[in-house]
Amino acid sequence: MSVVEIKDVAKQFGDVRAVDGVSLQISTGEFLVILGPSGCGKTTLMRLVAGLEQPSHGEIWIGDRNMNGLPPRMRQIAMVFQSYALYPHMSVYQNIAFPLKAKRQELSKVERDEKVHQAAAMVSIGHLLSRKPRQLSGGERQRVAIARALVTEPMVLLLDEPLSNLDAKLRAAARDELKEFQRRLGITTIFVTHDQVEAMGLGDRIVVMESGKVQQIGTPQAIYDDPDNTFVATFLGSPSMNLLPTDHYELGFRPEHFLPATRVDGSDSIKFTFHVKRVEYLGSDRLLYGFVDGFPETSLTLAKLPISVDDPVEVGSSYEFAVRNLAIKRFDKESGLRWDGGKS
Amino acid sequence: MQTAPSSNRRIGLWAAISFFVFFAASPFLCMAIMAFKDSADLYRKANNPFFYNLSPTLEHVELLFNDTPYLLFIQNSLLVGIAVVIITLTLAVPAAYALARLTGRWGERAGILIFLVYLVPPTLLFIPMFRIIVALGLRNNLLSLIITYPTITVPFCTWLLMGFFKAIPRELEEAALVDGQHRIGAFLRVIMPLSLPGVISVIVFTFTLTLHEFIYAMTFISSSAQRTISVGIPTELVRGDVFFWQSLLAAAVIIAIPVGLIYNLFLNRLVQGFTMGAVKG
Ligand SMILES: Nc1ncnc2c1ncn2[C@@H]1O[C@H](COP(=O)(O)OP(=O)(O)OP(=O)(O)O)[C@@H](O)[C@H]1O
Ligand SMILES: [Mg+2]
Repeated sequence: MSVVEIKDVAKQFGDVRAVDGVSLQISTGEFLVILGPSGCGKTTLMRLVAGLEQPSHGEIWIGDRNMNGLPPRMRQIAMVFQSYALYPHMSVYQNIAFPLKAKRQELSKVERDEKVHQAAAMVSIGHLLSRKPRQLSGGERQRVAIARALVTEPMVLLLDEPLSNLDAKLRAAARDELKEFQRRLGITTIFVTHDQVEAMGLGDRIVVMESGKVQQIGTPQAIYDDPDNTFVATFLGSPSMNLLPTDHYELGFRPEHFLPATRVDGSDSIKFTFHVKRVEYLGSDRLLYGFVDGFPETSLTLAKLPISVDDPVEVGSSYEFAVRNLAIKRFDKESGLRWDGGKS
Repeated sequence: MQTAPSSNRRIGLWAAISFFVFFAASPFLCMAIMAFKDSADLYRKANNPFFYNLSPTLEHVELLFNDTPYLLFIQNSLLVGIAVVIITLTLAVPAAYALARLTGRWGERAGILIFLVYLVPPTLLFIPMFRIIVALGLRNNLLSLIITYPTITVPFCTWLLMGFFKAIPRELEEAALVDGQHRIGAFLRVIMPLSLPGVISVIVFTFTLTLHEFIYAMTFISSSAQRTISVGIPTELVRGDVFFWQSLLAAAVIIAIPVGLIYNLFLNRLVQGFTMGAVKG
C-alpha cells in the first residue's frame, strides 16, 4: 500500500521550474532517497510533500487523502531540516515536547512527559534534556531533531540532507544510526541528499533527479548496474562510467569492469588497446587514466584495478584491456537514453 | 576561553569600570545633591557646589509636590507613554514582520522608505500637525499626544524590528508550522520570544521619546492639568526669569532614577538575547 503518492507534480518559481512533472509512490515503511545534484529540486519536492509549498500543478496524496491546499500541521508528517531548526530559546525537553503540545492535545501531562522521555531514549539523549540547543554538538543536535520529529509518531518522516553538517566520521555513524531507527520503527521515510554514498547505503529505493525531473527510480543496485540514461550512469559511481562515442551510440562501461584482457573471460568480451597516460595509487585500488584505440584521445577512459589485479602497468605503455559484454551499456547519442531498453 | 585575569588585570578592570560608572552617574549625583540645597548655599559663588555648606533642606522638594501638579504630570506622562508603547507595538510588530518576510526587493525598499519618514524632524511637522489636532478637536487633550507620537515611533521601530525578524532563520518558523502550529502560533511561540531583545528596544525607545518630547507636548497642550513632565515642569518652575533650580532638579532626578533602574532590568535580557545561538554553532 502506498502511503505517499505524488501525481505529476510541478512547481514553478517565476521562470524557474524547480519540480517538473514528478510522479512517485512510496509504500509503507519504505526508506526512499531522493538523490540529485545541487539545485535539481530535491528540497522543493520535499517541501511540497510537507506542505510548506503548494504545487503549481498535480496532486500530493498522503494516506489516501488529497493534501493539496492543506497546511503542514494537517498532514501527519514530521520533518528534519538541514539546519535542524531547533528552537534556540527552548531546552531539549521543550523542543521535543513542542510538537506534542500542538498535535496531540488529547495527551495528559504525564503521558506527554512519558513520550518525550521515550523519544529521547530512542536516540540516546536522555541525559541532555535540560540543555539548550547551543550547548549541544552537531551530532547531538541531529538526534534532538530526530527525536522531535519522531515523538508525534508521524505517518511520514521527511529528512532534508540531515547529515550534511556533520564531519565525515560522525556522518558514517549517524548514517548507521538513522537506518537503524528507521528499520526498528518501520516509519516511512523520504530522505534528500546529493551524496551518492549516503543514498546507496540508506535507500530501499533511490529516486535520481535532475533539473526538476525524475531520471530513474529503483533499488540502489538497479540504479548502479542498469542506469536508464547517461545522466544516471555518470552521476553514480566514483570514478564515473566511461562513455565512448561510436558512430551510432555511446558505449558505456564502469572503470572497475575495464581490466587487463587476461583477467576477463575471453569468450564473451570486447577487447580494447588501452594507452595509459597516468596512474594513481589509492591504497586499495589503482586508477589508470588513458584512452583507447579507435576513439579520440580526448575521450578520457579510466580503469580501476583492485589490489588483487597486480599486473605491472607503466605510464606511456599500451596494454590489451577488455570488458565483459554484460557490463557494457549502450546509450542513444542524441537523447542519452539506454538503447537496449535498460536490460542487458 | 580566556584564562582567568591576573589580580593586576582585575584591579585595572575595576578601576576602569568605577571611573565610567562615576562618569555616567555624576550628573545624577549633582542633581540629587543640589535638590536639597538651601538657596543661600546654592547662589553663593564661593561655596563648593558639591557639598552642603549650609545644612540641607526639604523645602524645595516640598514646593515641587505641594505647589505644582507634579504627580499629575507624572500620571499624564505614564498614561501617554504606555498608550504610545502599546500603539507602537501593535502597529510596528506586524508591519515589520510582513516587510521582513516579503520576498524580493520590495520588502527592503519599503523598509528604507519607512525609515526615511523617521528622518523628517518633528520641528518641521509640528505646525501641520497642530492644524490636524485642532481640526480633530483634540487641543488640550492627551489624546493629541497619543496619536501624534506614533508618527515618530512607528516608522523607526518598524525598521528596527525588521532587522530582528530578518535575523531569525525562516526554517525555525517552518519547523513550527510542521510541528503543528498555525502561522500566528508560530509567530507568537517562536518568532516573538526570539525577537524579545528587539521588542524591548522598541519599548525603551518609545517610552523614552514620550518622556522627553517637547515640541508637540508644548504646542498641543496649554492647560496645566493636561501637561506631561517634559513641558509641565519647566512651565511651572521657570516663572518669568526666576528658575526654581532645586525643585527643577528634584523633579528630574525623581523621574530619572526609577526609569534608569527599570531599563537596567531590561538590559540583562537584552544582552542575553543578543548572545543566544540561533541555529547552528
Ligand atoms: N522560493 C524560491 N523562489 C525562487 N526559486 C526557488 C525557490 N526555491 C527554490 N528555487 C529554485 O528552484 C531550484 C531547485 O531548488 P531546490 O532548493 O529544490 O534544489 P535542491 O535540489 O534542494 O538543491 P541543494 O542540493 O543545493 O539543496 C533552484 O534553481 C532554486 O534556485
Ligand atoms: Mg536542498
